[in-house]
Amino acid sequence: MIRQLARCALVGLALGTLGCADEGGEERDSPAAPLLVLAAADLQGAFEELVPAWERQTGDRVELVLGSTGNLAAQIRHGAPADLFFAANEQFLDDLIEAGTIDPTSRTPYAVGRLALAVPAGGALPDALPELTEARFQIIAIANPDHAPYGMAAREVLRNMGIAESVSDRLVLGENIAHTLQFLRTGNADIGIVAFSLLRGAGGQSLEFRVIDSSLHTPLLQVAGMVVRSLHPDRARHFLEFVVSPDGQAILGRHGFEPPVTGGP
Amino acid sequence: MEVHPLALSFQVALVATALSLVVGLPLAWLLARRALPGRDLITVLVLLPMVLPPTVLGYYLLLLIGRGGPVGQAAETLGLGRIVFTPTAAVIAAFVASVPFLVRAAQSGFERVDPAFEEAARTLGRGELSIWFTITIPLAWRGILAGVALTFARAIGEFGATVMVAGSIPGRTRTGSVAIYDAVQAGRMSEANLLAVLLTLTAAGTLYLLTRVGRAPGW
Repeated sequence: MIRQLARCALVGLALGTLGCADEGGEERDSPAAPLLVLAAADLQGAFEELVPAWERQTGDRVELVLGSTGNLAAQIRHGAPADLFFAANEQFLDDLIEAGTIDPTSRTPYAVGRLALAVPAGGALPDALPELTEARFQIIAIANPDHAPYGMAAREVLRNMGIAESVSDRLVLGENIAHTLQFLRTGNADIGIVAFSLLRGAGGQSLEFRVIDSSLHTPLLQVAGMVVRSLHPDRARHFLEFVVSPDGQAILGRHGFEPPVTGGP
Repeated sequence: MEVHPLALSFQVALVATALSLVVGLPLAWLLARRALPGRDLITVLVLLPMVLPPTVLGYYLLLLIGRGGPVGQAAETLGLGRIVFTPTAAVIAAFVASVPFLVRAAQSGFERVDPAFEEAARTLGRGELSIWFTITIPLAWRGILAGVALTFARAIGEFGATVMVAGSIPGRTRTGSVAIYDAVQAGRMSEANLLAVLLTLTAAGTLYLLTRVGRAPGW
């Protein structure tokens, strides 16, 4: 029991999550262990629908861990016992391929993310992006452009609109896109540039939002890959194939993602 | 010129420690000496930040000092401006997370002071405030100093609550620990390593210095 708890705690630490879902104390390397899927935070709504759909179809089980792409990548790099990684961009996954932790042959673009402009309910969305410089937008929330894919894209949008300089001292940076959305939801930011996918469904309930013209930034091509050390490569490949299948893509589409432009694996 | 994350951490920790002394010392003394009504409840409240996850602490703070929160709104009404996402928010986060260490250590320091000394001063006609500064505090000095060291060390490493209420604005609220987190997230390991080593050395150096001072003869 103690050893089981200790293992729980270790896995929890490795994943940066609390608690332990595996109450039965299944070994991670047993054939029956659920697939451990690490996915970018912007996939929350989509994967909460997609994973049960796949489980119903196949009878297999998936344990889903959502987090910021950078954080998850760091965990995989340091040996998190994951099977699959769904990143919110290309760069972090390609870095892991270069480091030898992700199987290069499994590299699969699976979605294109969209940015949206959002204000707390009751606020008025600006008609055009240059209005962000208006005095009523004192706090503008974006994800940290240092490492969060949606933050990088948001910074590009601001630069391409020529307003990056004039709003720079009003920017507040979330650690990932979910954290950025939280700034808006708690009313602590006047406006934000967040993931469209998180606003579909419950996430956008208390917010007004509008999708941002995707020609203003580099496409948010999201790429997935299989962890080299995975002990369930066949099951992992099946799940990956499901995500890019018409069924999987339909679910992603309903949650505001566009299909990847470069095709399947 | 942008303030270096570590310099910012140092400043934030310094102010938070000073604030902890101002608020924590009288509180520690009251807890040590007075039959306070609800003493146990106060003790629990004071120590709670020590055991709560910093993110929970940060969430409470966000509700309190956020723009919709009572303290946040009061500050704006009073013309003090917004608190969240400012260095002030970082100081408040560090203060709340670290003040329990001061109260705890100072309280045990006060408890070790023999009340007979204070009583003697009182019979000689000294005022309470004068007794406090010339007798009680000097005698409890070691406990207080230990508290200061721990408080500063905890404050300089504060992360969870800071990230919730201060954001990560370069030069304003991106403290050393937040910068380390950002660097790790971005995969900039050499930067993360450098910052981590420097932050560790700063905290260790402070603890060492204060331990030495505390042991010096004449204290």
